[in-house]
Amino acid sequence: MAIRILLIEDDRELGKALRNTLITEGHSVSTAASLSEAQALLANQLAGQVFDLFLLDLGLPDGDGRAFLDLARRASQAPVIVISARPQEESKIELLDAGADDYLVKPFSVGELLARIRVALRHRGNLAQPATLLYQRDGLHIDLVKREISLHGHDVKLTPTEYELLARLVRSSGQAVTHRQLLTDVWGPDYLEHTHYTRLYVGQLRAKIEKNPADPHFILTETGVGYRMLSGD
Amino acid sequence: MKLNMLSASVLGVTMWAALMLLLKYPHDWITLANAPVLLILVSSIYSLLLPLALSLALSALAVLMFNYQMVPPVHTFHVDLHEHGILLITMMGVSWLVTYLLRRQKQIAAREHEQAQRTLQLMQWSEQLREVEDPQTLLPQLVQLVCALTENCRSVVLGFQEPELPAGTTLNKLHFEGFQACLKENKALGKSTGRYENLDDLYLPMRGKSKAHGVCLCLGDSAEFDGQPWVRDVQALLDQMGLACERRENLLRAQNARELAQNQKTRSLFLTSIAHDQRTPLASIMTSASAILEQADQLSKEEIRRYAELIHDESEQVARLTDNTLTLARLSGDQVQVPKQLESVEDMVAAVFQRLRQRRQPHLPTVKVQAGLPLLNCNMVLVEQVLDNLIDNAIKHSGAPHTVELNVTRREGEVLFEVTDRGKGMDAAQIALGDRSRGLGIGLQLCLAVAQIHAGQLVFSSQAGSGLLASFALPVPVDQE
Repeated sequence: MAIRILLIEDDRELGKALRNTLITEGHSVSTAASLSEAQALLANQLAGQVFDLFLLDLGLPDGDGRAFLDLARRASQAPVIVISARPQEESKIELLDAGADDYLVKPFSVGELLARIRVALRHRGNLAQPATLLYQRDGLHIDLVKREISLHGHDVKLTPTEYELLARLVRSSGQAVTHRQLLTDVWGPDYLEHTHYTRLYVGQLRAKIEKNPADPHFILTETGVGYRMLSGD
Repeated sequence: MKLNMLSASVLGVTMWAALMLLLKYPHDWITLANAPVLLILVSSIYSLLLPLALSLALSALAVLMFNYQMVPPVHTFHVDLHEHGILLITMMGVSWLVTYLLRRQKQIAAREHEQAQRTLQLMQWSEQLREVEDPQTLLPQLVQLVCALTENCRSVVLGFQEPELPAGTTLNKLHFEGFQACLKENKALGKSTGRYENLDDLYLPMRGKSKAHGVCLCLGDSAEFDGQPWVRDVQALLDQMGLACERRENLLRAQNARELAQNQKTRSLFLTSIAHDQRTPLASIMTSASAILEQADQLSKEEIRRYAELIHDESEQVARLTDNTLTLARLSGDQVQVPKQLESVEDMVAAVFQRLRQRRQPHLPTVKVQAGLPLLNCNMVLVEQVLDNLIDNAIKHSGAPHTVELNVTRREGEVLFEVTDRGKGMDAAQIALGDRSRGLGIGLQLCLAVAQIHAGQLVFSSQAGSGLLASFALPVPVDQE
């Protein structure tokens, strides 16, 4: 399906390459090289021709990506994927916590970009409908309605907190979830300081569902950000 | 001292009085022949004890008494015989001469003693200055020494750039100007110096070879300073201080120059490493890309794909080098603040494996992580970068990419990440240099910097032919023990 993408990237060469790639995939792409240009395009989008997804580079010449994220969140339901370079690690997490859907660190491959776009669209697309409550991948079966988890046919027993944590990751499967989001959603906003909780409980979860917890195939580590549950089949 | 002088005077006068009594009431055995000798002996003794003028006067009185009592006609001051007249004159002369010579000898001895004291003091001062690292810290001692030497001064103020006022002392504008002028001109000025004679006070510089390093201000009363020996002694002390300050300045300057040169050397080494590390992958990228550009017609789809793969892989290498360089530059800045959190070892190892898979690395290392490891207080981004560098190095350069292993274990007080291979290894010299042929240029520097920031340790051990062991240790936080 063809989707309309707004690509906000100030580097001309990278912008051109990304645009070509996305067009090759059959998407329609508008580009903006600055924050003001992006804001103008967002404000003037025609009814019936709204953007389905935003690709937002953090290093813009005329302002903070945060400003655009707030605007996009008010004007549209479309997902925002942040593109960051190494020195911008912190602002990347800030944007994820503020509602961006995912992020990519430069340099990234086309395959990664397309995969992130697919996941983001799927999650946004499901927003109006009941969320998929069934997760299946490589022998791991999770049913969030019946609260049942099994690995290769054997039941996996989880503590209530472990279950909440896993359920939170499954609901955003394919996307990065920050430590902050996990702490807020599973333990509550009072637990934001207890950053080691996520490390300890993810460790316990991995011990129960991963073959080798140090080389996981379900719950991946997003360095300095949080965790990502791989998409289900 | 005063008491000594007083008792010496009393003793002197008593001796004279005894002599006078002896002459007044002479015994039979005091004759005209031996009395003069006795007189001269006694007068030479009290002349050692009494002031010069008094001694001379007393001697004259004693000779008069001798004349009155013993020289015929007795009980008159008349002298009849010529020989008696000559005797009296000779007595007077000899007595005075002895008195004068003894006094003079005593003065010379006293001056020599004082001079020796001053010389000793100067030597001790110079020794003190030599021993201390920063001579300026000895200012209070210098003030004490100068105060002990000065005469006719209300008070003494010293200082290096500015006068350092003791409590209760105030200076006027003229004093400050004089202080600065003396500092600038490196010459004594003020009263009795021939320069700015109209000033009431004396300004003495702490002279170095090229400039003054400080000034001593002697606040005068009405007396003149001209030619006083203490001025010379104070100047000697001040000059010692000036020279010590100059030595210190030169030392610091040389040290700065050395540091600057060292920094420049480090920076150029750093730049050379970056350029060197990037040239190899860039060459592959250039060659592959130009092959696709210029020979596209002759190349099969499969060949083009292989070139593209090479470009892809080598670009990732450049990206990693750039990450390393950026991080290293950030860590080398002044006052680096690296945010640290409690992180799990599993998370970090998992992140490295994800990176390797993303890079489509054909040989993944065998990994063993001891169960139940504590959380580590670290910066996960940096630790992951270290592990990535160590593993990547072992895979690419050991010559045995399938033998690479990562073992994480707990040892006393620390968690040990060990990356081993069974490849060709490195000898001690290569390890010390961080041999660049093994891609360890910037990467190694980064790893060492990260280890240092975490109070950890990175050690390589190897024997040629038996592979390389890189062990990276991070301390276990106290509350996680």
